[in-house]
Amino acid sequence: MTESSSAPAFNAPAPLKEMRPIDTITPAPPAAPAPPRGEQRGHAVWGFVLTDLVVFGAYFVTFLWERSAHRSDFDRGASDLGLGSGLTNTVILLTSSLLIALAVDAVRCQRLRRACALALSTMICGLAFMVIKLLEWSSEASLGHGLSDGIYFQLYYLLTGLHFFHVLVGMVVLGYVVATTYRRRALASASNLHSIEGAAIYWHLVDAIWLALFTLFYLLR
Amino acid sequence: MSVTTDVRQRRDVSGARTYLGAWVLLVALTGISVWLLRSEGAGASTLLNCTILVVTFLKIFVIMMVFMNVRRASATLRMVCSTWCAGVCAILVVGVLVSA
Repeated sequence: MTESSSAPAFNAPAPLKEMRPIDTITPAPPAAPAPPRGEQRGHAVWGFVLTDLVVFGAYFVTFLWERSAHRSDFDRGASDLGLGSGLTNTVILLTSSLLIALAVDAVRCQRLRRACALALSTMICGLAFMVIKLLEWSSEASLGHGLSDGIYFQLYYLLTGLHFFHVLVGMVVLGYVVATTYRRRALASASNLHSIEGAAIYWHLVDAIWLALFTLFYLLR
Repeated sequence: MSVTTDVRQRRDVSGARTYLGAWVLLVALTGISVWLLRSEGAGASTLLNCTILVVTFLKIFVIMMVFMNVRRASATLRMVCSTWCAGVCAILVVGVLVSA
């Protein structure tokens, strides 16, 4: 049996006329440049912030839902809770937000020493908030307002505890950012700005959530 | 770059006055909320509760726009943050009205 003359031979090289000369080959288009690391970090921070806002928004709605079902319990709980410590903590967190915003501003103006001092002041405010909150919890517990004292105090300890954890994380993040910014103060790099901006956005989130918690637990009657 | 240009640019970048103004507004709104509550007494009206809620979410909006610099962010982020504030505030106000 003979092979057909038109069939290509096995492993035969392609005819030269079908090969394109090297100089006519168009190079592959360059890949889109990856966004800078600072920008990527910014996206991650905002992703976290928006997720946290949705989660706390759901908690706020749950609070109102339970309030409508246990109205007398919530009225009694709100009147038992001291307004003074809540108000003091609100002013402290608002002040801390101002300080960290000024710290970001200082980094933008390349004043890194001032930025570190302002960020440290923010941390002192955060520490004061935590101390007052711990004192308030122990005071409420000593008055018999524990987790078993109705739905109001269960939600109070759950949500303020969750917020307390956020403050704690914010303190750690701020401490890390202050340390790295201080170490790289001679460089005045864009990385300093991205680090402190991310930490500041998180800290403002903590402040914003507290404003809502203060209203729900202390002001609604 | 000349010194004059540098100083002018620093002034453009710096938002210290804006931040300070926002802080004064936030503290004042907090004080007004507490004062309204104390003047009303133990049984606060539904209207007062709704007013306090709206003021609270106004404060959160100020924090987002000024402190978090959302006002200079992309239109999408501005819209998401504004929608969150308006949406959660509206749900809570309706909740207060329904439970009254």
